[in-house]
Amino acid sequence: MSLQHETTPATGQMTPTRQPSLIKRWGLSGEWLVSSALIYIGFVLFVAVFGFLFQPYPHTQTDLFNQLAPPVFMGGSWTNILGTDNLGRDVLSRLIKGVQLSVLIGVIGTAIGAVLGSFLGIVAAHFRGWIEEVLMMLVDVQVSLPFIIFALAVLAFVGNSLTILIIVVGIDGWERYARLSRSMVLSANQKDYVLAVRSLGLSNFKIYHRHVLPNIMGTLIVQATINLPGVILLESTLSFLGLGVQEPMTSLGQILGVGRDYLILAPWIAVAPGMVIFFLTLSIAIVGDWLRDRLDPTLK
Amino acid sequence: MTRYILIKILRSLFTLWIVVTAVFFVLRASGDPLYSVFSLGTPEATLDVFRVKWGIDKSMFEQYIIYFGDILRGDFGTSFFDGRQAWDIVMERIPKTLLLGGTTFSLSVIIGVALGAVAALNHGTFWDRGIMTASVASFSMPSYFLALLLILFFSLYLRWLPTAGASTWWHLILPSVTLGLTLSGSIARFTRSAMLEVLRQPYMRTARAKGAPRRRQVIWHALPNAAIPTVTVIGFQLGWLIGGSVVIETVFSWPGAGRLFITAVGVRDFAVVQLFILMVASTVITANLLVDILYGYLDPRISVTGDSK
Repeated sequence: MSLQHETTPATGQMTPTRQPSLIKRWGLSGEWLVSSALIYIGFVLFVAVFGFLFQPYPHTQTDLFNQLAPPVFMGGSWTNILGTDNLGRDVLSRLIKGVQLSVLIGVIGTAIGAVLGSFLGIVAAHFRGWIEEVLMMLVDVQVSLPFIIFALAVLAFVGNSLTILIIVVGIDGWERYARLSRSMVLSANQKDYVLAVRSLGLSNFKIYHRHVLPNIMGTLIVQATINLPGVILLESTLSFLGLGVQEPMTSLGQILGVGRDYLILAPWIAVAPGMVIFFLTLSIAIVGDWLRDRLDPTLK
Repeated sequence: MTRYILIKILRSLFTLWIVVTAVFFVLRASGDPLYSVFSLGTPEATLDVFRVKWGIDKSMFEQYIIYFGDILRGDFGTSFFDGRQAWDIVMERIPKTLLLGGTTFSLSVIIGVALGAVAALNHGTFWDRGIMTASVASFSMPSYFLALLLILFFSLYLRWLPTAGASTWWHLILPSVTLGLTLSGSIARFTRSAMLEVLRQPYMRTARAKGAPRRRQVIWHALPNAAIPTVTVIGFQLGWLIGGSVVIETVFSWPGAGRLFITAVGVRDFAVVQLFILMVASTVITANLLVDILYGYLDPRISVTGDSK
């Protein structure tokens, strides 16, 4: 016991916040993992952009004589490769449409959070004083409420449209960029290159735009990659619960929400979009980890 | 130290006040709540009676002052739907939520710490890689999808476990495993890095040098030291756990506060939604405060002004 007691101060110094990097320990053999993740992400992006060219049917087209038809590998026919849902709509067509909207919301949402958060972080670091206090207080507020609870309440009470959904999803995670950019700008403002351009009389806008931002951009982009899976999961969860994307539009989570009611009769409705989301978030997490190792050894 | 804690407590109270205020105004930005309760064509006179009864005939600001005063007196308002006290409605759901949350928490701490320790002790081997891959996979998996897969396999295919409700202990298994798997993934990651750090410390070399058996080194010297930072980090995961349980309670029809929240949000029941959010925020803020103070004790170098989170 005495030994344990003696060593307590030493544990206080540890910062377990540094996440072990998945890829570093994979060494060379990790290359295939990153490659397959990149290929899968590329494929999903391709489907999101050009998928409509291959979409067999309109995603809203119902066929009441062909409800809950199984996919080909479960004894179905080739007319609906991945089967049909409760209204006889083609699952593959809905999947393509769903990927499109999920990726769109995920990317725009992430961009909103990144731009908003980084901007506020820079503002806090530039003005210091009460502005910084207020912004850091907002960060505390954001951290104190699980975001999904806030999002559900806003979407249910304020109303639901694609724009509101994207904005709500975009707000998620802004505080991470704000903290990050604030601390990076604070340290950049002490560095020689900033002191030099400042003494040359450059305007604040030019200093941040031309000199500081390019230096912290890499870290912010890595952070955005790490946040992206969370944003995609948030949208899919909201849609699954029926408060996200609404019919006739569709997203992966929304298809899953429908599939949940037909789990016994037609498990393929839920399993197909679930697999797409899982492998997408997993691939982005793997690539984010890899980018962090490659581009930014300083990031936690 | 006292000053440090006092400032932290004041900040926490202030944060809570902002959450309560923001939620009050955001929820009311949606227009007249009466229209979600009554059907169209209800006579205005009837509506007016209820406006007065529920206190929504006054201006927004007056309502806020009254609401805030009521909270301070411990009155959280009545539900628009069954006219009962919001406090009673939420409180009768809390035991089930605590049961699920507590089971999930203990389950994932045990699994997470064990796996993290195994990974660290077998650093760089197949086991380490396998466990870390599983951990990344566990938080890339949408929890509701994992829930559906487990239902498909254990309930519909094997017919071992019930899919919905909370009447027996069997009902607890699927929801807590679903929630716990994700949480244990991140706990395993934290434990692993804390453990790797501990294994490098001089006292571990001492333990090895004095010939302590391997098992004693791990259980007696390494684990307790790795546990302290891990436990504090786990404290920050509480918010995540609450958010996740809202989803999982809905999927498994678990009669807890999270499912109540989803129902209340769907029918726009102000008092219940506000009280739930207030309770969640104060729980998370208290947990973060405790973790902060704990960190302050463990590492006296954390400055008063620095935001250590």
